Amino acid sequence: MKNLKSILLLVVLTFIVISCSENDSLVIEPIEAKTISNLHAPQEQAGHGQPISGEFTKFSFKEGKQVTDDNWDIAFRGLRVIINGGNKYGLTDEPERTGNASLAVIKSPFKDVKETPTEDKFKQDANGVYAITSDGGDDWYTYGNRIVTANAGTILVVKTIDGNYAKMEIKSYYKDNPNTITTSSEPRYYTFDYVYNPRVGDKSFQ
Amino acid sequence: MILNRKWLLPLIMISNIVFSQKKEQVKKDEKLDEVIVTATRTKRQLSLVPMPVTLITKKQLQKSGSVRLRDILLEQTGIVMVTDFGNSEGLQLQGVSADYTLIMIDGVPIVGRTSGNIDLNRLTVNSIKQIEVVKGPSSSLYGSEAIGGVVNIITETPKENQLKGNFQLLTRFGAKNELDINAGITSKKDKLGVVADVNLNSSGGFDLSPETENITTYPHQNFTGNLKVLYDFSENLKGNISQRLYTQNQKSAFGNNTQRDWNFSTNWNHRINNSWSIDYSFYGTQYKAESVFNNEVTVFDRSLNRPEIKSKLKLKNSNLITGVGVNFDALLRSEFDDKKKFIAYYAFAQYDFNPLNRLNVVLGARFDNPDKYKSAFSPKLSARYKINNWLAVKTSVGTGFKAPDFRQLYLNFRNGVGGYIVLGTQAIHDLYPNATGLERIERELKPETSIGYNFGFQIKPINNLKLDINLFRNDISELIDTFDTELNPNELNLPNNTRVFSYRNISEVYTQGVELDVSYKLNHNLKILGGYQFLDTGDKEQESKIKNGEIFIRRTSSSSSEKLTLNNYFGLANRSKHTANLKLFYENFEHNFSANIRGIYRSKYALFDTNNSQGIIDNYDKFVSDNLQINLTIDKSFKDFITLQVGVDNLFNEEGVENSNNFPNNDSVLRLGRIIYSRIQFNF
Repeated sequence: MKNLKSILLLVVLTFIVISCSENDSLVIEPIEAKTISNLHAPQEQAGHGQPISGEFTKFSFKEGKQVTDDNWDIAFRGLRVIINGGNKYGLTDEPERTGNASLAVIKSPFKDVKETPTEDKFKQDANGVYAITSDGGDDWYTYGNRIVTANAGTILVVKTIDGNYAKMEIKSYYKDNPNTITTSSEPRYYTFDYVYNPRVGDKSFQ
Repeated sequence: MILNRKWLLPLIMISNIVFSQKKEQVKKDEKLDEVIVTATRTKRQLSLVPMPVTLITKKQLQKSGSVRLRDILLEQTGIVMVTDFGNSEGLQLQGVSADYTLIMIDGVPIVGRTSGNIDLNRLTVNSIKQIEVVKGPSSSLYGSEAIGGVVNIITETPKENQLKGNFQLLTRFGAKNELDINAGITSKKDKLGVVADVNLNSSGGFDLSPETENITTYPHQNFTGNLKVLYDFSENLKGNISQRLYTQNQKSAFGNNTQRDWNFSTNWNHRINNSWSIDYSFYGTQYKAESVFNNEVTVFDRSLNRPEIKSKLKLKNSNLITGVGVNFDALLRSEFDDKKKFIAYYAFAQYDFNPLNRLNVVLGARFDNPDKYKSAFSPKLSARYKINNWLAVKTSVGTGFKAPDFRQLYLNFRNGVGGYIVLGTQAIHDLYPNATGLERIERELKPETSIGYNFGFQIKPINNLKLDINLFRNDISELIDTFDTELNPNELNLPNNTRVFSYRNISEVYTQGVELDVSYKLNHNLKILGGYQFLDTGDKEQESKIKNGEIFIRRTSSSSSEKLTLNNYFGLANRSKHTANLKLFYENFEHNFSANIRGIYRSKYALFDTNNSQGIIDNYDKFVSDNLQINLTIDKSFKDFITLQVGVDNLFNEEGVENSNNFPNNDSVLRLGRIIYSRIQFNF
């Protein structure tokens, strides 16, 4: 009886192992989750009421890092987030839109965004309109008690200039993503998680 | 801090008079003392009333070394002191915040709230006979603001042929420098009774966070004078006039703050026959605060005048109370255009009867008909059933309400820099009668209303042990909150992008829990009192948002977002799930010596949403950590003439410094450190 049990167990285990390895043989190109920390997005302002100026900090999902040429997907300056697609909003020192990137905002936990939303959700910047708030929704942050907090569950899905898809979650606006933000925390340092699908046009994030 | 000289002279005079009096022996009958008036507006034995009531006796006040009302209330089960921003502190009862709790002296309310709180340090405990706390809604008797319950301070009343006086001096040092001097006299001879008290209190202030620029509390000195004169014109007509004046002066870095609180009340009891009597009373009070900030004077001048007629009819096995009155409320505030007034007529009735030998039922209702907001009807039903000699069950269901306050109707606040304005509902209608979308703002706000349920047992299994268990639930609806009216600023001649806020009846919250009180007399000398409250609170709209999966949180700053589930919902701000107290009173009658040790515990609580989940507090927010404060008092009497007392508050110096990491620059999360005090009291 005891033997029979052991054999049964062995059979089951073997089955599991085999089925796992079968899965493994269908390996897809890895879609990795990455974190960018302390992406500095400074801004300049001559005085209260004066227009905000300065270079935007550009980011490419394909490169996985900050870029300085026109091959950017998304860019940051202070609290402002723009996408490389559409037209200029009309800001000082705003970069030309050289690509056809677009952006959709989804309310969801990061891990639950398993594929891209429908095409109509993707928006581009335009004169007087930011892609990120064009749906009439909230921005990626909340400002209160003189502190900027990144909204939890606000996921940005980006269609890059090359037609790839990436999802990102901004987690912090302050240097080193402190657990307790105070008015003396150093602002304009973005920390965000992202998942980039290297296969062009593939809408899956898993 | 040296007391103002002009007070010293009359003080010395009074104390001289008091010293020369001869002592009158008054036998204390403890059972007789356990009579309360707040629950039913009639004299009732504490153990027999059908509502949950806490009684704090004068003896307990004195033995605990209390100076101001705050000191004693925070040691009671189910009462939590909550500090709001700006260090205004208020009393939370059954999880209901201070705005919704009535603080009264002899049955009439104290006015003048700061951020919704009555400052309990305004009230000296010296002229107090006892404090009665009725939990759960009591608007059926007391009208507006009696949602969480009422705290009623009962002042001394002289007994026949009584003459007693006291003079006492208290100094506190350690974390807080304070001097409290009190002289009082209580006398009754033939038809004339007098109760007079003078209290002087001054403090050097304190700063919980010396590293920051802000001072937590600036030095102050204040004066309280009470004078009550009672006269029995005949067996059938008795009258009294009572006055209280409180003034405080506080010097801050920006200027001077003064407060003046004046109460006047008179009551005439006319006994028509053995079963019917009528009380004619008038109450007037004014609270005026003036503060100077950058040479600009801000005024807050609140007054209430209330004539009332109350009839009491004693029938066989029952009694009926009926009453009518008018509230004339007024407020003048720097942020208002002019003086604002409310007039509200009210009528109430209460029938207290015993349908069965073991069953007592109290049925009451009140109708308030105000001129500036919608009317309120507040019924209440309470019952107590004695099952046997050691077990009784109590239950009550009642409604409470809180009238919209002046600010919610009349505020006219303009923040030029911030790009927003806040207008009261009537102010916005008066200023912009033709604005598009004005119909979104109701001119007449509804009162905030509640239904409260209490259900409890009184158990007395053995002679020395008393156990009280009470389950409670309060559903508060029509809570008034600010909202963005989305009115077009251009149409209102305001700068572009100005957001216009006003008020509306919006949210619904609940508080529920269990309260447990134990009193055990070990022997003649030793008594243990224990109390515990479990509290669960929530906002119904927040809960439905969580259920719908609309709320996201991040557990820490580096974790990914997730949907908040109801298991991780913590409830309302400033609510601790567990609060408890344990007190040990020892009395040595042979050597006139007594000592007690009191521990007060409060579990962790949140101040606000710290992880950006739409204002919702969840288990991953930052909390003010739990704390336990131990207080110790020892006193010794010499021939009943002199009592010496020494005590330590916050024996283990629990200052809550660990909270500074989570809540920097916020003094409300810090606590006063160890305070040592001594008191000398002369009794006559």
